[in-house]
Amino acid sequence: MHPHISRRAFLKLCGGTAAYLGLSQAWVPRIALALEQAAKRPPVVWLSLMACSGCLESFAKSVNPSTAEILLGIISLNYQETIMAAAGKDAEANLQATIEEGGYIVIAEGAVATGIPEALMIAGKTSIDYTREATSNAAAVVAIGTCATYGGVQAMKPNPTGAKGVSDALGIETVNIPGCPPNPDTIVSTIVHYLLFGKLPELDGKGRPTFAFSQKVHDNCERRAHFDSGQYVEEFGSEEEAKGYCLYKMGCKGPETHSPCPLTLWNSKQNWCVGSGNPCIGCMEPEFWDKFAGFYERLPDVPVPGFVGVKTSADYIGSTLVTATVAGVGIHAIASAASGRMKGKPESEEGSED
Amino acid sequence: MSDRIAVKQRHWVYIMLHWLIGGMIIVLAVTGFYIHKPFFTLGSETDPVMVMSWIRWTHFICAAILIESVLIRLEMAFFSHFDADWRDIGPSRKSLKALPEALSYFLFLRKDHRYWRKANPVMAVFVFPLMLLFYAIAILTGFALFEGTFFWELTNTNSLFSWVYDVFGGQQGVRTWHYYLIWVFACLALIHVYFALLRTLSERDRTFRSILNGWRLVPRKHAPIRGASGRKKRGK
Repeated sequence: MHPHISRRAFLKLCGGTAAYLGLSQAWVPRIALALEQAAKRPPVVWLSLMACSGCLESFAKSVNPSTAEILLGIISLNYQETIMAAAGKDAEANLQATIEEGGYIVIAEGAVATGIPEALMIAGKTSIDYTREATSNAAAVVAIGTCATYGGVQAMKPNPTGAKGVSDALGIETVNIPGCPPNPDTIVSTIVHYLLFGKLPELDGKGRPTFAFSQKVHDNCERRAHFDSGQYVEEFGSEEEAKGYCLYKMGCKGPETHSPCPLTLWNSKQNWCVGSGNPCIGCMEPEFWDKFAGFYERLPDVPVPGFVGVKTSADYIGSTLVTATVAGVGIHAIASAASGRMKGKPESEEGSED
Repeated sequence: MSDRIAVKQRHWVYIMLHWLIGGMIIVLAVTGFYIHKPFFTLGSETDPVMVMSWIRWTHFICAAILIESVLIRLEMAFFSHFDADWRDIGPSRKSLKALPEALSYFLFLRKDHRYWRKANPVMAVFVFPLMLLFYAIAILTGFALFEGTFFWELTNTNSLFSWVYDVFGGQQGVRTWHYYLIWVFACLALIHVYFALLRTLSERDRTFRSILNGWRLVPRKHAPIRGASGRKKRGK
C-alpha cells in the first residue's frame, strides 16, 4: 500500500469497485484484502500500437481510484512507452524480463497493422511480431480502446494498413474494453476482478465484460424520459437541447451502443457526451467508424448493392423501389385498359379455358 | 350468367387472418415509421403524453399479432382439414404448371388463362414466397432489436438473437434492414392489390368482395359438387 493513500480513500476505492462489479458491499473487505495481499502487485505491460494515446489519456483521468493509486497501489506498470522512467535498451530489457517471468497482464492499446506490417515498427519489430511476443506468456490480455478491440478508425474502409484488433490479428482470446477512449473505471474493475477471483470477468460474444457492456446507452440515458414523451431536439444550440430533450433525431446512436457511459460518466465523473448536448456516436460499437457515420443522421447512408463506393440513404433506396413498382403497375394497368381487359370478358368465353 | 355460379370460396377464418395480417402490416409500418422519425408529439411540455412509449408498445403488440397470424395461416395452408390451399397460394406443381400461361397472359401474349382458384400463379410463385422471406427478416431483426425481458433475456448481448447482428451487418445493418421492410411491404402490397383489382375488373367474378364475404363467381365446371349434406365431395 502506498503511504500517500489514506485507509479511508482506499476503502472508498474498494467500495466503488464492488458497486461497479455488481457485488454487494459485503465484498468490500474481501476486495481490500485482495488488493492488500497483492503485495507483489500484478505486473502490467502496456502496449502502445497504432493508436492516438487517447486511451492512456483517459486512463490518466481516472478518479476513485486515481491514476496514482492505480500505478502505485494496484498494479506494477513495467512497460508503458509514454510514462515509464526507463528508455531505450533498458526499457526493452525490462519488457523481456517481465515476459520471461510470466503471469503478467497485457493491456493493449491501438490496432495491429496486418496489411502493411512495416506501418508500425517498435524496437525494430513489426507490430504483429511485437504483440505476439509480448502476449506469449501473459496471464491475460486486455484490449482497451476501439482500436485494440475492433481495429478503430484506421480500420475504416479501405483500410490500407490492414488495421485489426489484437484478438483478430493474433487469433487469441482477449478481454475487450472498447471505447474511443475506453472508460478507466471499466479497465480498473476488470483488473480488480482478476485479482479478487483469479479469473477474468464474464464476457459477452464480442469479448466485452458483461458487467459494463450488457446495457445500452439508451437504457440508462438521462434524456430517456424525453425520448419516451416524444420530446426531441430538432437543431443544435436550441432551447430544447439545453432543456435536456432527447437527441434521437440528431442522430444519437445511444439505442445502438452497449456502454456504461451514462452511469460512469467522464472527466472525473462530471459529464458525458449526451449530457453536454452531443448525440452519442457509438464509439464503443464494432465498425462504428464505417457503419455509424454520418454521426448526426438517424440512419446514415448505406452502400448501394452492386455499386462499389456509392452510398445513398435508405429512404432513397426504398422510395426508388416503391416508385419503380408504382410505375410498373401503372404501365401494366394502362396496357390492360388499352387492350380492353378491364371491361371484362364476354360471357360466352367464361370457363372455356382449362 | 349460367356458366358461372357463386361459391363460398373463403372460410371466415381465412378472411379474418387476411385482414389481421394486412391490418397489422399497416399499423406496423406507420408505428415503425414513427419510431424511425417521430413526426408528431402530443401534450404540453410540462404534461407530455408518452407518445413514443405508446407507439412502441403498439408496435410490439401488433408484431406479436402478426407473427401469430402468419404462423396460423401457414399452418392452415398446409394442414387445414377443410381448405389446405398451399398449392393455390404457394409454389407447387400446380402453380408452377400454370405459371408460363399466366406470365404470357400478363404480358399480353395470350388473351385468356385457365381458372385460378385463389391467387394467380405469379403471386403464388413469386410474391407470397417473397412476403414470407420478408416476414422472416422482419421477425428476426425485430426480435434482435427488441429490448426487454420477454421470453428470454433479450437485453443480454448473448441473447437468442445476437447472431442476427452478425448476419445483417451489426447494429446499424439490422436497423437499416428493419427499416427497408416498410418500403418492401409497400411494394408487395401494391402488387397484391393491383392483381386483385385486375382480376375483379377483367373477370367480373367479385374477387374484391370475396375477401369480405368469401363468395366468388366460379366457372360451373370448377365449382365443387355438393352432396345432400352440403359438404364438398370432390374437386378444388
